[in-house]
Amino acid sequence: MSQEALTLDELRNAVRGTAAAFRSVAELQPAGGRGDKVFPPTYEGSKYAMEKRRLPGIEEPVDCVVLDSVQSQANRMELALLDAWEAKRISLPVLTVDFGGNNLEKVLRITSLEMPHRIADAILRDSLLDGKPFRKSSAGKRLDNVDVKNATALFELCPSALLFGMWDSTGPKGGLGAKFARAVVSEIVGYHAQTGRRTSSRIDPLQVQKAAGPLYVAETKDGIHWTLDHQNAVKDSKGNPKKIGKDGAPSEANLGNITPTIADGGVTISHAIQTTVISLPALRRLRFPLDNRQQDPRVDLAARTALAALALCAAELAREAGYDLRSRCQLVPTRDVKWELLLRPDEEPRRFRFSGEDSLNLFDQALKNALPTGLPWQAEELRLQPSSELVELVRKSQELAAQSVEEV
Amino acid sequence: MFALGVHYLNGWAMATHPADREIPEWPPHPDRVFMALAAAYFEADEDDAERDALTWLEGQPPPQVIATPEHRRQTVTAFVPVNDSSSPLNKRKEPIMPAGALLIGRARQPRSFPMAIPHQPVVFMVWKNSSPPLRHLSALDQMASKVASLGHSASLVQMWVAGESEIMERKGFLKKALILEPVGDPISRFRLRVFGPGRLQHLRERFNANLRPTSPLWHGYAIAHEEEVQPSIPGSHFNPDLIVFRQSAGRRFGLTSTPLLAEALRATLMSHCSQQPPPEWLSGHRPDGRRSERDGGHLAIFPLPHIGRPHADGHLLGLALAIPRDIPRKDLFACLSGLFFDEIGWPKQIRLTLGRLGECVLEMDEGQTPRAALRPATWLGPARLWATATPIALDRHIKSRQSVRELEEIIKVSCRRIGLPEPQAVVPAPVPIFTGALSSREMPRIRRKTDGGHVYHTHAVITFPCEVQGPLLIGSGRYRGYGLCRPLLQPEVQE
Repeated sequence: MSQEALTLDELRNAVRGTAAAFRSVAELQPAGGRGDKVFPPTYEGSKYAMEKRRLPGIEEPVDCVVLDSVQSQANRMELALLDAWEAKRISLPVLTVDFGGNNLEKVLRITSLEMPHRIADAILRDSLLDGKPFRKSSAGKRLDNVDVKNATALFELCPSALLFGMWDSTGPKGGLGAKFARAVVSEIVGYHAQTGRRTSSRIDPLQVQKAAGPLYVAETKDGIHWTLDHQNAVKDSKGNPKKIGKDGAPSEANLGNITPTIADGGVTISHAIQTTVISLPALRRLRFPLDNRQQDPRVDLAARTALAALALCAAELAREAGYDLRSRCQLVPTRDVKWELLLRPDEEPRRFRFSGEDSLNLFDQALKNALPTGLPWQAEELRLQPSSELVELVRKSQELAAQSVEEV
Repeated sequence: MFALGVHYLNGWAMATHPADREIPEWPPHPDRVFMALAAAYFEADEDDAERDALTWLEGQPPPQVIATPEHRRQTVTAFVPVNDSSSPLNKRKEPIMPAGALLIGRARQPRSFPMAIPHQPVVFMVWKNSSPPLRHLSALDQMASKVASLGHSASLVQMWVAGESEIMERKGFLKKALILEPVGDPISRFRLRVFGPGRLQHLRERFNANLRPTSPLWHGYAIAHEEEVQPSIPGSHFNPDLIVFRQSAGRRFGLTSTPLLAEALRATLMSHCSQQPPPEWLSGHRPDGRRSERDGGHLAIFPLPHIGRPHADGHLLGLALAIPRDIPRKDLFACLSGLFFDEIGWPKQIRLTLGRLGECVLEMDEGQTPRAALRPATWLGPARLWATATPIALDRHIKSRQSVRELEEIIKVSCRRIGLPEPQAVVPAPVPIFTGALSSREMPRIRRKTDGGHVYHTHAVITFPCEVQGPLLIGSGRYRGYGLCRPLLQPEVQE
């Protein structure tokens, strides 16, 4: 049965019942057209994450490659939520650590949607809210006792942690801190992957020749760190003029040609598939007691429904943002993407289709339905200041990074 | 009949094998499923009906497991940001480059996430002779519907109580699936962690003490009706159900150490055999001390070398045992289970001490390793074309070393002697066929007991008139690792 829109009632019934998951499967092609090369993420050793998969109707397994991992897809969904929040398209609790006003080389503002460990991240731990260390503040202290049976504070302050997972490993309970398993898993895999070759080279417009060197290290003066004058060069411990790099070649100062090389790189694929699953049992295990009162199934359902809607939102907004995964890896969907509601194994899934805007509306309705139950929601941005120690570390890091660039 | 079905919603399973954290666990072990149900019970209201249902379940025997074979994602190392420090400087006080969405650097730790991609992402666990009372059935179904993941939290699943007709209707799935039956002894190709009475209470106690669960029982599994599937493929008089030991510690050994290692392992088996003197099929000697002349042969020990790959160097990854086909595996278990397993069925280490040469520590392999040399399929075929990994020590004295025809005939007889069909062609060669293997001259010579002379060795490529199944151990040194053959053309090894 095909259906166009997912209503709040249908969503609520799905969350309340025994349905297993919402799932979408999107077919993608390279933006450069079928057969164009794409570049998967490389792992240690310059390896791609290759695998074999069986496809229906094909006898032999096919070579596949991961184009975007589970963790990376989660990050993209969080960034899509952040973009929507900044554009005021969605109400979300967001904690921000603002490094402004500290005379840093580069001003930074980092939100909880960008932090690797979300609201449990060390940056928040090392920042101040209302003059107190975050975990000692009124908001932070509410996180100390969260767990699956008491997730209210996370719903209030960081609902994305309930979707993408969190481990409060550096809170007061250390390694025994609360763990929340993820409820959303998404991944993009390319099929019939064939590794290609890539070339690297540089043609210097100045045509600086190697023999024009050697270049020597100079004292830092007006930004130029090399000199041809060995008498004015920086000396090493033996009093000899110090060459740039190993032998003072102009290429060590990013001048001159670089000989073209050919290496393995990129893949061609027949198509890519993005599979996104939102687990409803994972949401159903969460409880949301209010103010030490007994658990109220009505409140639980409202919170879980809002979270399910937020998950759909995150997935659709990320899709809306496009699939520009990394340099030379942009994908486009080949057709409209539908969502399936997976019921019991012997039942036909129900199908829905909606846009990013539809999902935002659905989440808005779900939230408006949830808040009157008494569920808290930090709609206002919480602004934190980094501790002085953290500021100094960032300052030092920026200075060192700038120096190492100059020393090239 | 009672069954649980598991559907992996993303099409893959991310769960680490308990014996080797670099490889995925597939199929899921029954104890993992039990722990997932128990977690669902504990995380909810600890309903009495669910507790009673779990108590009933833990009293059932190990289930049948029905799952399709899998491929594995190449295990790669991802670097995940740490959370013990927010500092953008590393231990050497150097700036860490920002990566991803985070605008300041963060130290990262390596992690890998082994993953199995089954041909079809569904598994059934079937208790053929168990029928839970209706109240337990309802509670089990309720708990199953609460299970969100199996293994890593990213391994999202749907779990449910499945009916017999539902399973039988999945004809496409059943055609491709392996049906693993629990068998009487743990020395099996597959060994899975299972649960037993008291498991629920153990999990509760460990959780309350903030401790991880301890290992449960291990149980042997075999592929149901495997011989019926391939009844017509001839094989040697060795049982294709090999017992594989991987080297887990000690120095690296090459193929030249084969005779010493085989002898050391044999001596260990003999001394630990619960039946003394050890039976003829194990010792290779009759009760009066004379050499065995059993038709079915006796236990063979052979090396598992890394050969046949572009950079293979022939070093040994382990050793394997091949028992005679006519000896039931339970006899082997009866003799040697105390050497191989501890009281909960966990593999024990077997230390072989070789004096100045060092030590070789072995552990029974769980059948999950991706290393080709440790996978029985590498040595079993079936195939028509085989080549020697270790030289054949000829069964009899050769009149002329230049006589290819004579060598051919001797090798053909040796093949027939172990129950194989007569080869169609034999091509002897002094040099190895597989990269990394030793030449005939490099392999330690076997001395004849009669006159102290050396037994002639040769490599060979053997073509049979039809496919034959291994293990192929040919010639007079076959019980000590000589004459070990491998299919010359390796098909894609079923994972």
